[in-house]
Amino acid sequence: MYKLSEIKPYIKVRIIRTELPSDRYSRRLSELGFIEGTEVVPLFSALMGGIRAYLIKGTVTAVRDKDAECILTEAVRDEEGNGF
Amino acid sequence: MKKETGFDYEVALAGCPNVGKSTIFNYLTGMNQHTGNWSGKTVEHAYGYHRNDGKVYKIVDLPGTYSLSTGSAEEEIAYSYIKNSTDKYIVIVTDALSVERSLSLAVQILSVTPRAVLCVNMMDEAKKAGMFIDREKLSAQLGIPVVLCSSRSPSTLSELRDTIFSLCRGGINTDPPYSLKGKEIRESLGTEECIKTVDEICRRICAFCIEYKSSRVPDTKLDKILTSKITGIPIMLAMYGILFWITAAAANYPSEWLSSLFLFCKKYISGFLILVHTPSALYSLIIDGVYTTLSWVVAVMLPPMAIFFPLFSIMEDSGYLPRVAFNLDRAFCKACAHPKQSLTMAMGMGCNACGVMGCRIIDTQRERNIAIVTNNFIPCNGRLPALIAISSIFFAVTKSRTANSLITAAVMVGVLVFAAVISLLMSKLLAVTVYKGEPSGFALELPPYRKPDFFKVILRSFIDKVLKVLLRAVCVAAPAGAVIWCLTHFTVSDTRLLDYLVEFLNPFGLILGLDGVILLAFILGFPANETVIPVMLMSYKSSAVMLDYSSYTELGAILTTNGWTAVTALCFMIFCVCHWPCSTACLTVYRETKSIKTTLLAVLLPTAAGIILCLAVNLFHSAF
Repeated sequence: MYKLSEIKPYIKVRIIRTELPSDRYSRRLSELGFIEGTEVVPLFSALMGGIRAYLIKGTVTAVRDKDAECILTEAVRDEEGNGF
Repeated sequence: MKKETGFDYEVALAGCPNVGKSTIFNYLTGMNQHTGNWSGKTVEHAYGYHRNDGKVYKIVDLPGTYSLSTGSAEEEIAYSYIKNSTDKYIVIVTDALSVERSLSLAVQILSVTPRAVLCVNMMDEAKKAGMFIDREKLSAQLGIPVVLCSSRSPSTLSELRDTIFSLCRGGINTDPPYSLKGKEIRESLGTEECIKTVDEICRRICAFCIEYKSSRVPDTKLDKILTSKITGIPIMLAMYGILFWITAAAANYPSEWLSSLFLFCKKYISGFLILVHTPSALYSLIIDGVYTTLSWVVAVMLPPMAIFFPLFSIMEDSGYLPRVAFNLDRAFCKACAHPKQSLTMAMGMGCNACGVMGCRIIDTQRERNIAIVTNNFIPCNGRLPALIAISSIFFAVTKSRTANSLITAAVMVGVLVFAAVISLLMSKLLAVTVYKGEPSGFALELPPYRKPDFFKVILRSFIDKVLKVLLRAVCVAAPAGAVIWCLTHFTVSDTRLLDYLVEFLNPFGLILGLDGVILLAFILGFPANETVIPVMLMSYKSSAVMLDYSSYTELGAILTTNGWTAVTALCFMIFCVCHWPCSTACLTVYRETKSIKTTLLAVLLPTAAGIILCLAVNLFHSAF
């Protein structure tokens, strides 16, 4: 199990669970697709750091690193192999 | 069936933000649109009408939402509308590239009402990404008609329109299948389980109906360049620099043309007034007061605004601004400002009233207030010509015209950076004093870059801007000209009213590195910022006869004759950025917050900052 913030770019992972602090925020992230079972791919970070863009459900969505630390994931075994 | 007067069928457009709903709305309603507010809320309500074959269709644009629940004002509105839509029809607009996510809204809507059509928009982009959507399978899975659209292909849009009409007239049967778990979802809307159930259903449907012919990773080459440590910031500054440079350089030509036009018309108006034996005082009021100010505003202030605004709209439409928000997120985090504040600040560059209204996108009241109160630090379109003029006169003093425009652009970028930094510092100040609280959570969507429809955007925003400015010129600048004329022509014990005011304000102005006339101009510029320079000029010159509006030489001569130095110019620019909001912006702040306290804060904070900064600059200068 790895924190989403620790995953290297372009590695596909699947979300196991989220441990976000407030209900309201956790619901907002859920609506954007950050829930159990969804596949996520980290893409690129902002130049000042602190926030990173992820590919999720066909969209590019940016989430702050301190929130990505609360999203726990596992590696995904791809037929094509992991990474792109 | 309950029917309001004026239309036969009511159709609502629902969908996530950024799916191209407004393009479809514009297509269906054309010029026939109305915007207002949903009752009791500060969310924009847009609706329009479409006539076809003897029937009138009312098209309502619901606010963009990711799901049906009662979290934010937008969601409440969408949810309550759809709940009460037994006699209405819904067009669910989704974006092909992110159809998995948008489909979850569709499934939720179908749990409440079956009277819907699914529109999968932006199919051209999906095709480019190697995505194939099986329309028949999708339609069978959802039990409603599905139309695959692309805004570049009018035939798909007319197919959507025809499908909507058929649906309304009862020509199509809709029947969401049991597999969509309608009852279960409807009863648990808004809960975590509901989201999970919906997510499972959507994943199943997408796996069945959608094929990907190539890898799904989006092309991030451009994004990596725009957000990299080395190139990110220079590119940001360069983008704004180019915007300002084009504006400053290109505005000269229409300015010259317009000022010749006004001079030309002046002869005829003048001739006419003399012909009808206008009393000389009234003649002077009209020609020297009203007409002069009006022509100044239109000839000198309008061209930069009319050029900047469309260019800025193109930048907005292209999808670049969320990347700016992404890049600057850390700074906003440290300033305790909501990240979406960068977007509202960008809107403030067009118009501060729009920027304040735009703060609706910020969820929490506390962070919304911070964004609203600090919005005026960002110089709006109305202040842009004044800033360009003063930078050109006092700082772009080389012999080369090209070098001068580049210097002006560079100075303007500097002004913008200054405004942004002050804005963030003030946000931090507010966050630790008046608006204390916890920062809210946040996720920012970075939509794919879209090539904006240049022609349409430029045309629409150009016409919109020109008309708005012309209207304001007539309603605000003309009366302002009349007021100044009265102040310069009415005397009390041999002293002009103007001189009384200027003398009163002068000591205060001088401490700030300005003078009484400048302060008076700012005060009289309260209705509209673009009248500040014209009012200033008319006060400096006893005879308000301006021969050449477009050249800055005459303007520069007037200013230097009246004691302006580079320091005055600097203080003017600082005060221009940091002073009270214009009347429209103040009204908007009150309308959005319904709080006199917040409105007062929005007026006093920038003013106080301006006073302190100008004082500091002036003291610093006197000390050397």
